[in-house]
Amino acid sequence: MLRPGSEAVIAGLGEPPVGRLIGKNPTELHIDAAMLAIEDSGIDKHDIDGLMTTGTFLNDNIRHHMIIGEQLGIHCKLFADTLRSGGHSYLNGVQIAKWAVESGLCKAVLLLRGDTTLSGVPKGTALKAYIEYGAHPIEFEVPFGITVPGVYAMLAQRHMHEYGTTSEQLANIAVACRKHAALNPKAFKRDPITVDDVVNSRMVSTPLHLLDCSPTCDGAGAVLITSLERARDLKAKPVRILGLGQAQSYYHLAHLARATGARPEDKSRFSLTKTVQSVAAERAFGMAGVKPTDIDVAELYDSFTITVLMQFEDLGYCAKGEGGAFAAGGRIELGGELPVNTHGGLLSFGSSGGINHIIEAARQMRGEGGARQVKDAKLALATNVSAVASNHSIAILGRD
Amino acid sequence: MSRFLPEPSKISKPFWDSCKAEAMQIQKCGDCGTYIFYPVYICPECASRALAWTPVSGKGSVHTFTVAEKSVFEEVEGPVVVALIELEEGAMMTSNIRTDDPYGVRIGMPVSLAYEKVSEDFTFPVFEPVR
Repeated sequence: MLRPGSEAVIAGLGEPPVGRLIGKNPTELHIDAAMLAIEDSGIDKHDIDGLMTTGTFLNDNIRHHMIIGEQLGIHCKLFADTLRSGGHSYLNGVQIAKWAVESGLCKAVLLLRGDTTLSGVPKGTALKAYIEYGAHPIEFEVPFGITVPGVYAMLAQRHMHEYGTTSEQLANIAVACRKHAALNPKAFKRDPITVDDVVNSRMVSTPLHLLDCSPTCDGAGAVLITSLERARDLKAKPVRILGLGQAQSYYHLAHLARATGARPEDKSRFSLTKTVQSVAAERAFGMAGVKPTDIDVAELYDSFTITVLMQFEDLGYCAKGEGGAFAAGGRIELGGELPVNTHGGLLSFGSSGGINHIIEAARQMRGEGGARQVKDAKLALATNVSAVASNHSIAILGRD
Repeated sequence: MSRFLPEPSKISKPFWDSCKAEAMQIQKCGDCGTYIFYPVYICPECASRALAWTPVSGKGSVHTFTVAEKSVFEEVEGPVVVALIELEEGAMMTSNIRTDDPYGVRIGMPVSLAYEKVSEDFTFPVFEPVR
């Protein structure tokens, strides 16, 4: 049992501008984000003794966390590492930071993300870079021409086949994100779109259209984690970390789809359309002692519209197969039952990776959402998803 | 970019060799009978090391797929169908569907194994709709 006050909280946020950031490089974005979080919290930089970065898409370096720590002048870290598990590195970082703070290892841990995947990747080189980065299994999937949108399209195709999900239902998710982005002056994509716009946009890989896919974008983020008692002496309102859960399955579609190696009685629980996020959700909601319907605002990782739709089911908001119906009728928009991606998400806010979902969830708990603030929000959910919906992290945040 | 070719490893070479011979084999567990793809060191179901390269019937069905107007590879003419195929023996594999009606591909559609020579060294297993 933790001594009261020693529990880890989010005590600082940094979110530099996103978009096409010509002239910025990933290192500079890390510094920008870090300095904003340090300023936001008011922490003495010398009290930061834990540092996690998440690497870069191009020219990554095994010393990435060292390079950034040195630029920041954070000298002696008691814990430092680069997390490289793709889109779920950020909530994985929150989990590790919580362990570091609550075990007494670290006083304060800074988690950083920054990359220029839009302006920093020369035209025509992205695909080769994705292959070298390891986005897909190199020997048994890449030679057949698989792409990032292509694999999520294969999930969507299967979901449509099993449950009758439609392109219009998927489009509702893109429309909701865009509506919210219109209320966020920092968002990358703010022009209003309709369901018709989404389903009439260019077909990228059947059944996903261009507006079902999050745009490539430059961006960054920083989250500072320390103990509640330390946070109460700082400037920013502390945000409680009430529940965390993680679950990870497989890399190759062939094994992901069959839940290879699972206990015989568990095999029917998992498939391409039934992800292990359900396991992460059970843990996170159980730890927080709340139900999905208690959540006031949800920042759900949205690499593609299908990524979000399946989460409604796996998080427990509706039965398997009903995610499409759940996304309809304004339920996921501000003013609805479960406002989703109030900042605009990857689909419209932009940035890269899942750190901005955590930042927005924390911002909502601080009541600093401005025009997009969910009134009286007391509980927020943030999720990270990566590797064809096989890596999942969930956090439930609350007000102090 | 140009077509990406595999670099076979110790355990995957028999698979690629069997494709080149147009007689595809995958591993079968001698203890629990599971057919396994891609090549592995131990059976992921029962941890047995008694894995034997075994011919397959070549019959399967489409588990899921996507059609892209253009291939990511310069040499490959679109539209291209990337699919996850469930073999009759139970294993699944990512492959392509070779058809003159790519937008007519459906989940559950029966397919059969065919071969496509892509270079001097490599023949890829692909699938065709059963007519």
